[in-house]
Order: sequence, then C-alpha cells, then structure tokens
Amino acid sequence: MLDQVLADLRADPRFMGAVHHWQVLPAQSARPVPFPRTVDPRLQGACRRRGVATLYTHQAHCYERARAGCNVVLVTPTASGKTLAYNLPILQGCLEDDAATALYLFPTKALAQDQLHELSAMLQAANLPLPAFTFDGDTPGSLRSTVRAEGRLVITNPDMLHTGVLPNHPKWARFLRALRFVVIDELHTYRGIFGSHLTNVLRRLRRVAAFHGARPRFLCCSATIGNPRELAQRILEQPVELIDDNGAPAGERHFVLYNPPLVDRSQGIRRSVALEAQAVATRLLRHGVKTIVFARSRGRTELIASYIRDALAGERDDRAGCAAGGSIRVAAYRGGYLPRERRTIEHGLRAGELAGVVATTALELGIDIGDLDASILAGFPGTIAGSWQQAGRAGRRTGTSLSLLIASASPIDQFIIRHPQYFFERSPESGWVDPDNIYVLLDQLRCALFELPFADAELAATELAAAEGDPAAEPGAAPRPAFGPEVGALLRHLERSGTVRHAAGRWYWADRSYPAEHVSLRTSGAANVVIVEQRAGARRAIGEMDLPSAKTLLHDGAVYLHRGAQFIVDRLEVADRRCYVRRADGNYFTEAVIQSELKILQRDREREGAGLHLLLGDILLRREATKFRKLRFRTHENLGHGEIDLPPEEMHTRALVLCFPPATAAGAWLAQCGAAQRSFIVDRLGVLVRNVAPVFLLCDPRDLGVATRLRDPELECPAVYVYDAHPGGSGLAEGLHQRVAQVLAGCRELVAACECVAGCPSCIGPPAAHAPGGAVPDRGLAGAGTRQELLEALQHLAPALPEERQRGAVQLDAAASGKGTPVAAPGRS
Amino acid sequence: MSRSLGERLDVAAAAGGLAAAATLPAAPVQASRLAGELEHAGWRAVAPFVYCRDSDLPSPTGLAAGRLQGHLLPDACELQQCLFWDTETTGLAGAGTVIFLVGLGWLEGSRLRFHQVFVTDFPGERAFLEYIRAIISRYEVFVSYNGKAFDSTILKTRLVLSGMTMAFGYQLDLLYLARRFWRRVADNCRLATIERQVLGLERTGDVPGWMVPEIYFDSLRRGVLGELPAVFRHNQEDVVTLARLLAVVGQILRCGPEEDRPVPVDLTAVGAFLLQRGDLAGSALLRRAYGAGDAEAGRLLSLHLKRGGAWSDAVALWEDMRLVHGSCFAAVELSKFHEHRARDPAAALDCIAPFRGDPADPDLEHRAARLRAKLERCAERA
Repeated sequence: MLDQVLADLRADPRFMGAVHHWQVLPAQSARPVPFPRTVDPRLQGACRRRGVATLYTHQAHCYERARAGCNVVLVTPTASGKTLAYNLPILQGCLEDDAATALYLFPTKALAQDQLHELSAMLQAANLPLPAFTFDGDTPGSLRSTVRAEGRLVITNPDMLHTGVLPNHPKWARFLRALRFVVIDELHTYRGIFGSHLTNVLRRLRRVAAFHGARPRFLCCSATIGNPRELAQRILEQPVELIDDNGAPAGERHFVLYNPPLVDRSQGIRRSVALEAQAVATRLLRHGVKTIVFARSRGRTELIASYIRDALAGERDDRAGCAAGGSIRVAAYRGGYLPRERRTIEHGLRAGELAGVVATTALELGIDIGDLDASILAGFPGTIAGSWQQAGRAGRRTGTSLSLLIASASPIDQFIIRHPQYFFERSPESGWVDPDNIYVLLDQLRCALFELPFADAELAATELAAAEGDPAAEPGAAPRPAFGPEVGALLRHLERSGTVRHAAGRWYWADRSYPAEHVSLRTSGAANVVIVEQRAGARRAIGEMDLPSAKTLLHDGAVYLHRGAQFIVDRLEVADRRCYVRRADGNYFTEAVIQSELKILQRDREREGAGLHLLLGDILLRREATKFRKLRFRTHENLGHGEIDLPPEEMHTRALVLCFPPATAAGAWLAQCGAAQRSFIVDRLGVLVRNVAPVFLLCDPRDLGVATRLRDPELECPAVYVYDAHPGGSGLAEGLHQRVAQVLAGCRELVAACECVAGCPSCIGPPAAHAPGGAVPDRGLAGAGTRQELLEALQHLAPALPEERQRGAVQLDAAASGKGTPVAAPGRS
Repeated sequence: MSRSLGERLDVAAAAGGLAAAATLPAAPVQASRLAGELEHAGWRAVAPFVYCRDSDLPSPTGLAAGRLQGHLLPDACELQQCLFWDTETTGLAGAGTVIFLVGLGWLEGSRLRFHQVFVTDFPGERAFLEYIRAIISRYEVFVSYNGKAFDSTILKTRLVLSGMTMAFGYQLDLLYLARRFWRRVADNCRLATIERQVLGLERTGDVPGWMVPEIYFDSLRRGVLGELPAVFRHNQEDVVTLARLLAVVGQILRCGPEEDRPVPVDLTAVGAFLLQRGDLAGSALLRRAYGAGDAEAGRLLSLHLKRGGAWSDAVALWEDMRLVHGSCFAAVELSKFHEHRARDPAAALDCIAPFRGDPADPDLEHRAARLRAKLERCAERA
C-alpha cells in the first residue's frame, strides 16, 4: 500500500517541489537467537502461543545480563520487544523463587495500565497464577491491602512510590523483603529536577529494601537519548550495562523533510503546517496507510484532526480488516481527555477501527497503539530525540514506513529543512540529573528520615566514600553512598530546625507531619480544571485541563475543541476549578494573546563577577491572557477580538539576573554596540545560556526559564534572567550563581567550536521572536547577526577563564561537535 | 564549592525553600532531670528510656460479661481476658509515626487495673515495644476506640521496624459499635463527644488530641516533662472510658425489650444489632421504636418479618407504615406482595398509585407501567 503511495508521491511534481530531502533508511533483518535453555518451558510455551518462537539478540542479552545480577539499560526502538526483554528474567525469577517480587515504575498511570494488560496476557498464556496489580491513585482503598498482601508484580509510578509505598514500607514488608527486580521504563523522562527527585526516591527504595533484606536489580528502558548509560548510572548510582544490540527487524523507512509551498513569494509566506499536514495525511489515509500526525499543541491537534475528518467526510474505508463499508475514521488524542476516552482511542487504533490519529506528545511514550505505517511531524518537535521518538511511532517489523517532517515557518524549522545533514547526523540530546541539588536533597532527606532513622555509622560511611570521589563517573566502581556527601550537614540543619532528633547515635524523624505529602516530584501540583458540558439542563464532565493552560484555552468565549466536537466556553470558574461549556457550531477557533512580565521581589545577593553584575534573588513571573483572537477555520483569517478577564498566572521563584550596566566591562562593551547588534547579542546570549547551563547544572532545559531585556525598566540596563521553572525555586539559580563564569565560558566555547558556517541551532540558536512569514536569510538563523559576530561579542562578555575547565566542558565539546553516534536513534544501529 | 553548605542552606531558607531554622537550640537530653520528674510523679524505670506506672481504679458499675458474650465477645470469653488499650502517637500514619505512650487496662476482681507505659526518647523504643508486647500477648480480646484502623496498625508498623512480630487477637473496636448505636443520638462519634453526650461525663483540663505530638516533642527537646502529665491523664481517661462504654453496652444489650436503657441510645440500631446476631429480642425493640415514631425501625422490622415468611405481620406493618408515615417503601413492598404472592395486580397498582412521582423511588413509574401491562394482558385473557 505504502510503496504505491510513495511511488505516486515521487511522481507528483507538486509534492516533490516541497520536498527538500528524502532519506531512505534501509531495512534491517532480524537477528533471532533461540531461547536460553534456562528459560522455563512454561514461559517459552507462552511466548510461542503469542507468536514469539525465538528471541532477538538484545532480548537474550538482556535476559542473560539480568540473570547475572547486572543492572541493565536497554535502548532499542519502539516495537522491538523491550517489554518481553525485561519480563522474561523477572518471570523466570518468580518461577524459581515463589516469594520473589518485582516493582515496575512507569511515568504515567496509562502506561501502567498498558503494562498490566501485557503482563496479564503473558501470565495467562503461561498459565501462571502470579498476582499482578497496578498500584496508583486510581487503586481503590479496598484493593490496596490485597496488593500489599499478595502482589508479586506491582506496577506503579514514581509519585506513588514516593508518597504511598515508601512512607508505609512496614506494610509492604513481605513485598520488599523479596524484591528482586525494579523495572524503570521510559528512563529518558527522568531528566533534570524530576530525575533528581527520582534518583533520591530510588536511594530511599534501596535503603528501605536493604532494611527488609533485599538488594534489587534495576532493569531500565529508554527511548532515544544521547547518553542512556550515563543517565542510568547517574539515576541508579550503580554500574549499569548498556544493551543496544537491537536484533528486531525493521522495514525500510523513508524520512522526508517537507517545506510547505510558498503562497506569497515576496513576503515569504508559506502554507500553514496544519493544512499541509491535513493534505498529506488525507492522501495517505485514502490509500489505506495507517497514519499518526504529531501536532505541537492541544489546539492544533484538534484542528488538524477536524480538517482531516472534514476532508474525508463520506469517503469509504476499503482497507482489509476494517468494518465493511465503514468510513475512514480518524481521532484526536491529547492530554485532558477522560481516561475512558483515551482507552477507547488506543483500542480503536490497535483493533484497526481507527485509520489514523492526530496526537500531542501524549502519544510519544510507549502506549500500545498497534502498527502504524506513517508518521507526520507537523512542525519540528524542538529536539532531535523527540523527533526520532515521534517518527518511531510508525514503522513495522516488515514493510516500508514513512516519516514526514513538515517545517513550520519558525527559523529553526526552516534551518533544519535547509540543512538535512544537521538533522540526520546530530546526536540526540543528553539527559542530566543532580540528585545532590540542595532543594531536592533536603526534601528527600526528610522523606528518608521519616522512613528509617539514620545511624551515625551510615553517615560516616557516606562521607568517607564521598571523599574518595565520584564513582558514578567510573563504570564498575563501588556504589555511591546514599544521599550524597553533605548528608551530615543537612541532618544537623534539620535538627536545628526541630524536625529531626539526634539521640544515641541515630537521627530520628521528630515531627508530626508526613513529609512526602508536601514534596511533589513534578512541577505541576494544583488541581485540574474540570470541563463540564451543559446541555438541556444536564451537566456532564467531558475533560480536564491544568489551570495555567485553562486560563489561555478555556477563558470565557473561547472555542474548545474536544474529539472533533466544538464547544464554546460559557464561564471559567477559577476558584471552583470548573469550566462550563456548551455545544457550538461556529466557523472560527480562538487563540489567546499572552503577556508575560517579570518583577524582582527581593535581592539576596549582588556582586560583580565575570565582567558583569550578578543579582540573585526572588522574582515574580506573571503571565496574563488579556484578549483573544477569533480565527476562521482553514483560512486562519482574523475575524475579531474578545477580552479576557482572568487573574494572571503568577509564579514566585528564584532567579539569577545577568545585568550589563555600563559600569561593568561587559556592559560598557555592549553599550557601544549598535542597537540592532545589541539586540541580537542579548537575545542570543539568553538562548545560549539556556542551552549551556543545563550541562553544568545537570538539569533539563525545561527546568530553566530564560528571559532577556534589552533595557530592563528596573535595572536600567540590558539583562538576562535565568530562573527556576519550578515554583519556589529548585536550586538551579543558586547553582548558576556559583558557576556563571564557567557557563559563560562554555557558551563561548560552544560558539567557537561549532562547525557550521554562519550559525545553526546548536550555536546561535533560533531567534526568540518568529520572523514574519518565516523568511530566512541565508547568512544565518538570526537575521541580524552571524556566528562570528556573536563569537566576537562573547569574547568581550565572557573572557577566557584562567582556571581549569570544569566538568561539563568536555561533554559540551562532544555535544557541540554533534559527532557522537546516535544511540538507537533512527531505529537501527 | 565556593560557599559553605551552611551559607547555601541559609540562602535556600531565605527563599522559602527550606523551613527557617527554629530559634530553639538543640538541647541534649537532660535525662537526670526528666527521670527525677517522672519518679516524683510515681513512674518507675523498667528499661533505659522506658517507664511505667500503675493505678488501681474501681471497675465501672455494671461491667459484666452477660450478653456481651456471643454478641460482642467470643463465646465463653470472660471479661478478665479483655485488654482495654489506647496509644498516644507523634502523628497519624506512616513509618515515621511513633508510639510514645500506651495505656493498658484490665480487670482484676472488682478493680480496674490501669498500667501506663511511656518511652522518653527514640532510642528506648525497642525495649518499650518488648515490654508492652509481653503484656499484650497475655490477652485474647483487645478493646479499643478506633484501634482496628489506627492503634493496632501503628503498633504493627513499629514492631516490624524493630524486627518483632505479634499476632493480634480478637479486636473489639468500640468505634464501630458507637457508630451504630449513637450516630443518630450524638453530634458525632468522637470519643470525647460520646463521653459527654452519652455517658454524661465532662472532662476538665483535657488536652485536645491534635496537641499531643507537640507536647511530646517539646518535652523531648527540653528534657523536661512539661505538659506531658496532661497527656498521661488524657490517655488514662480514654482507657477508663473504654471500660465504661463496654459496661454501658452490656447494660443496653441486657435490658428487656420494654425496659428503658440507662443512657440515650438509638433503639432501632440496638434492635437491628440484636436481630443481626440472631437475638429475637431485637424485633421487640424495633416494634417499640416503631411505636415511638421511627419509620426506619418499621422498615427494618418488616424486612425481618418478610425474610422469616411472617407475611401477615409484615403486611399489617406495611399497611400501617403506608397510612401513618406515608411510606413509599411500604407501598412498594405491599405492591410486590400483592403482585407476586397475592397475585392481585390491581391491588398492587392501587398501593403505589398515590406515590407516583415520589422521588424516593425513581423506578416506581416502571413498576406502575409493568403492572398496567399485566392488567391489560389479564383483561385480554379474560
């Protein structure tokens, strides 16, 4: 089917006119190996009954290493049989020891449900009565004690482990005593602050398991990421073996970079991504090609889905295996749907009732949606890793698949379209964690103390081992001590604050509170807004949304699209977390206009350093939707405005402000630049710091916010704000304050070492403001300046440091050169 | 690191990321002072950090096994095998919540022996637990207020953490009973409320439960008894009240159907309780409660009669309930009786006709429609 469509596309001059690059990634044949002899016949039989007669190399490898007692991180593409790879050693272990238990961690409840179905099917096929359960916020109270008393395979999420299991570990004594394996799937999601929290949750888990007499092994899986083994070692703080010898077959993949045709050549205006995505998706779906479209936002997801549905209205679906004579059905899929709706869509895709789906990153993770033939990326997802992840959702073990990246007008998309080698050769981004971040550590230490007292001896061992270096960096070294080198000082701090008591050589939790309840592993904590449809006097919840998004998407008068149905918001009641909507049938959708504002609340530390003025303090970040535009469906023509009257979304957090007053060396240099050049430099510096700081702070770019001011009204000079994206702060601004000279030197090195000619997303980055129409001059990305100009500026702004290059610099080099080998990136090795 | 950890902690604290350091300096345990105070108050040391004391109290009036056996206690279980118990803890749940005080009461002849065990500091916990386990394991029945969900759960957690195990015997949790007997009588079922509104007792100078952890931590930090004696009294009162409550429950169950109970109680609930345990005195109680105007008693009694096949009694009761109380439930039951047993769909329809549209039974409309259809079919056949 797809081969014919691809041939048609190649022969279509209009389509090919928009194609900038067509890469064919060759098929890979399977590398099967027989089941290891130690695998129980019941498990082998169950696999055979489920169509698995042999293992792939990586599965057998994973089985052997897990059996040998190693921690493992498995990095192979979607649909390569990762689940079986980790379930095989676990089930075998449970057969050999009829007390053995295993814990599975998934980042979302939906993935946990998916895993339970998979496991149950396997257990049923093998006729094994191993009790398997999910344990999360949805588990009814009546079932929880059963899970604790009988569960052998328990599937949960890090948040539930943190607030539900560990603080009550004595109730889990039977389970923990026999804990042999811990599965951490989707390891790449645990980056930055979230990953730093998870690392500490695992420290607590190991500590508690050791108390009950168990020393579990960890089996991790990760999607595309630049440094899977390193990330796993940093999260587990133990040696980890990387398994990436993917033995699963994969069909040929065509990866097409597509630039929508110009509609106004003089202004450089191109056809919209949404309409192009609809056109290509419709064409594929008409020919029976199962297609997933990834859109960049919830709104776009609904919009593209409804365009596709409109285009296909009334057409028959003649694909084999489809309900006879049915129409071609396409669904939207995103966060905020009711769980039941999500399950229906997932099932529809697996069962073939749905021919296509338009999704947000909500479908990026490993939810089982069956085999798809084509993936359309409606806009560059922002990261190389994310692109491969989304592209990877389509593709079969045999047969051809297609991935199509449709460039938006944004400069970074346009850069990628023009420089395919950048896209295909660049390593995926790396992930970092810093478990000893003081904010994270102190919160986690409270939780750990609540679970078990610390002994002085444990502390001494910790501090001694820490003094001997950082073994996580060296494979095969001794496991790193729990809770970092500074645990003693932290305990003394907690003792002074009165929540910890030191008596007879032990440190005890001495407070009435339940600390895990007050520590959230993720940023979002507030209750969601429930979207309620009012119809003929009856009310019905149709979905939900987090509050900050609701203020921009569910304001009074907003058009809300939900699974193809159109609603209009009657009123959003912020205090009650309710949004009342009713059915509508208009010809437009809405987009809020957002204004953001920064205010310095408190200046804690100010000093001159690295040739500029540094200010560490508290800031207030305010985002306010003040009005909205009404845009006509399809043409996106502006039909008018409306006012929004909602309280602004405010976040109080910590920031480091790089200020450039004329009195400083850097400020003086900046002051003599021309206005356009100054604007270019300040803007670029913000982008650079945002890209470089995470490497030194061991966080994820999402954990940091950056704002630039050409002339800050309060500071009366150019300024770059770098702030913690977590309310209340997460210690990154403090970390940057200490390492600002290194980070700036890192920025300079990055720009100097880049191998591009005039500037690329790796060095000077995309401009913050979208150039109208997306016209991109060939001299570089930013329009107003080149890499050389920026480098010259950085030589003034960030003079070379005399001191030795610090950690991070080396990794930075590797990242900048873009020459690392992508691990499992394109779905083949 | 350019700055010390302390400095960074202070910065973090200033940002509100950390709890600001309390002004109170960490004081070493002034063991000798605390020990002196405890001994002065009649406590004796049984292990390092562990103290106990005894009180000899009169047994609450009317406390006798009587009808408790079989209804609440295992058959042939004597009151002497019951242990009344209550704990004071540093929190509500989780591995970080510690028991620091246990009050135990048991009967010796006509006396209530009260034994209180206190652990002054964390390192004494193991000895504390060993000590109380030795006492507790001598008893078969554990009488508590919310002990099933709270005290025993926390004790089990503490034992696991100290590497010990213990099998709990039969738990008689009076909270469950109080919820049945007094939910409709008292404002709520907290022990203090039941004590005041049912037993008619008023405590003076009692410590509210939520203050207990702070009082203990304050004592720990300062190395003095501080406000703890009020907590000791509170715990003792709670345990004594358990015995008082059990005495009252015994009397309630012992009374004949027509006798008045010594304390306010929901007769309907007592009647239902007795019937559930096969004690037919319950039906007389329900009849009396119904006579006093409680329609719910009528409902329960009629269902009892229906289950026992006493149709004429049941029908008479339903008729009464329908006429006197306008009971939709009774109308539906009558309708069912006429339809299925008397085979008289017309009468069945008549019963419910006045209740059509009653929000108490949304299915009434279906029932009526079905009966009409049945009547039509009967008419056709005739």
